Amino acid sequence: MNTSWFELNVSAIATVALLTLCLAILGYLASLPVKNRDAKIFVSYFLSLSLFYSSYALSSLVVYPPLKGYLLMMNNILVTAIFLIHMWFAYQCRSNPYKRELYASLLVYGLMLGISFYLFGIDNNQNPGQYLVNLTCLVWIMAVFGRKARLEEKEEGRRTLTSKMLRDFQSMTFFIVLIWLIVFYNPLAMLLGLPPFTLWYYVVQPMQFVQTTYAAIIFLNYTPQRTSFQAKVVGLVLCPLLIILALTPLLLRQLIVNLPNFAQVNQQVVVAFLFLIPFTTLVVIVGLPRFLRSTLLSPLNQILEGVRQVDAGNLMVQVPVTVRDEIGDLAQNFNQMTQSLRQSKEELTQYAETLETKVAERTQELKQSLDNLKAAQNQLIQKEKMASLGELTAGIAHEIQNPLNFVNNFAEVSAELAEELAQTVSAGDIPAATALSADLRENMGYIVENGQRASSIVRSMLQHSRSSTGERRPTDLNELADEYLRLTYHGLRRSGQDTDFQVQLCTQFEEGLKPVMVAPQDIGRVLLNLYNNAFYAVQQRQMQKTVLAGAGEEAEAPYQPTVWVSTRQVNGSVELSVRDNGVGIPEAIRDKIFQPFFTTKPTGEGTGLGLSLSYDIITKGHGGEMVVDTKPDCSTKLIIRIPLESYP
Amino acid sequence: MKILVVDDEFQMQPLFEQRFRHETNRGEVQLTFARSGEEALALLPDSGVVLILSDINMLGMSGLELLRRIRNIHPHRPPAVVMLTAYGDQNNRQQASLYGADDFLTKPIDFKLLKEKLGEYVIHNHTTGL
Repeated sequence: MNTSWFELNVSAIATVALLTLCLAILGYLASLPVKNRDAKIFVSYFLSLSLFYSSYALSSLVVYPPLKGYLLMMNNILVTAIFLIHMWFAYQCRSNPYKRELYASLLVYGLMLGISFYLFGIDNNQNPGQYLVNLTCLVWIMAVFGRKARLEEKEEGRRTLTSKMLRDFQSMTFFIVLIWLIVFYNPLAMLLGLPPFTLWYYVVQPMQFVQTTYAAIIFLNYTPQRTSFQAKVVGLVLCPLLIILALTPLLLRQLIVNLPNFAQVNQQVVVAFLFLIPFTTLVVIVGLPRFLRSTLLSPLNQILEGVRQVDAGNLMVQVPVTVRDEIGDLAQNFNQMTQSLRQSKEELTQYAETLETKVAERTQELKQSLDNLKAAQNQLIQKEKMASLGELTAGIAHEIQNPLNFVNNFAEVSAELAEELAQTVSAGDIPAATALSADLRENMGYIVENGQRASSIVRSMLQHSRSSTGERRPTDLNELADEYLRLTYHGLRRSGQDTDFQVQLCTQFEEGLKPVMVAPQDIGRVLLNLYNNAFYAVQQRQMQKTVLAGAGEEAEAPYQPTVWVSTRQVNGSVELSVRDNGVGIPEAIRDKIFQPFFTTKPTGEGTGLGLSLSYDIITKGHGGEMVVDTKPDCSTKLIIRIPLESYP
Repeated sequence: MKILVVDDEFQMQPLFEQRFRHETNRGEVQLTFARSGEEALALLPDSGVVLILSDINMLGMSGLELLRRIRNIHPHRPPAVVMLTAYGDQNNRQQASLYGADDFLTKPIDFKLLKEKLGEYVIHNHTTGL
């Protein structure tokens, strides 16, 4: 294998290992889908790095002088390219606040490097000028990263992801500075006559591995693209493996250097490693992902898919348990979990079903009690009606008695007249007979009229006790108000045990009041309530006066209980007001008087439904309104207004 | 004798007229009617009425109030005042007596009794009590 123009050496092996790593990273970076400007510059950085390592490996192998000279020149050009790209990346990374400075820096660096090449030759691999310029350039790049990071932090007021990345790149650059310092030591030592650092390979090579990997890690850490688990594992395995492979020949060389057949053994070792490195890399890059896929990733993916399905609501999913390790356990546990989830869900469904029946039962019960309540309410309303009828009975009795008296009286008188008529006829007194017959006819009219009056009272009593049909007909409100006033008043007179009670009634009915479309029966009930309340109020006031007088108070002006009833027509509606000079309504209960079951009467005397029902009849039933105006211990006035237009 | 009937029931008029037809024809009785206490009071002065028959329960001024006012003007009869009411309760009776009523009759009116008593009201002049 040994020829005159190239030789295999351990340095070349290490470089090949580095190149392999570089290519692996480059391949991975190139395969990433994100292709922004930063990524492109970074990829080109690795591309130039790979080219440099290729060229460097070649230059290490080649000993043929002219070719070696070209290769060294190539090395220097590629290193320059790397530095330029590095500087460019430093300026452009994320954003570039120093656009002009970038070009100036690139230019200055190029110029200085050109000068150093001019002074020391472009094919010189021990060029101190180049080392110096490159070191200066690296320090400059560090400064650029640092300035950009500071600027970013200053703008945001805190450490951001970008500033962290810039600082990481800064430290990576510092690492390169260290490498270059070590590399620079030997030419410097030669110049200054210091002892050379012969083992620099052992330091520089691993440092280069670390730096290369570190650069890739930083970039991948901050790129929006997520790094797959496979890539991480491959990188983690490949990097130390290649370091070991690169350094082993160097170590071996130390062991075999004293052997008599060193050159031959060395040759074999180097060749072996030259094949071992790409082979190992290939095995790691190709084999490891396959292994990971089959034993880790695809079972994990299956479980992940299962999780997604469970999340989507499919609890019947079962994951195949293909491997017997932690992943297998996970799959098994996942299956158990879905099973218990399934059970819980079934229980929940069952519970929901029973809940529904329970809700249905409760609803039924509630409906039942609501029906009961409604029935009770109807009974109460009926009771109220009967109570008011009771209050009316005495009045009705009187009102019936009155026409009946007339009927009796006129009938009696008529009998007498008839007798007289017979006498006058037999006496032949025709004019007297004619007069008598006229009187008789008149009396018959009175009898009929009174009979009808009695029937009409009975009819309205029956009407009152019957459920209202709510049928509206044109009604003379004056007549209705008067009729019920009489009924109520006489009822009070007859039923009242406290007969010391005289009330003055004043009516002021507007003449020619238009008939109102109302349900007379319902309005009758309202009137009955209003009158009864008015009488009750004046009665109460009189009782208070009596009690006061009995307690020896100064005699005041005599109290005359009075109830005023008036009607009038106001703006398209008929207004009826019932006023009394009774006890009035205290401020505290004024807004309660229309509430159902509210009563000031002693328990058992009032249902508390009278005003509430009246209010409903006027407002809901007839679209009218009912208002109260009261002064405690002075008067109360209830006003109802019913619109003249028939309420729909 | 001149009799004033006070009642808000207008049919009282034909009834009284017919019941006292003979007496009226014979000129023994003259009937006058008022439909309210106020009307009665307005009608009373210089009417020569010797007997007033008044209902108690009337709209407006009550019969008892009318009685009180009449007795304020004429503490004694004439005119004699007889109360007629459907409610023959003790209280009304006492009240009427207190105010100086000459009699208290309950409705329905017993005309036979009333006619019998007519003489009493006129003859027993200046006597008190029922």
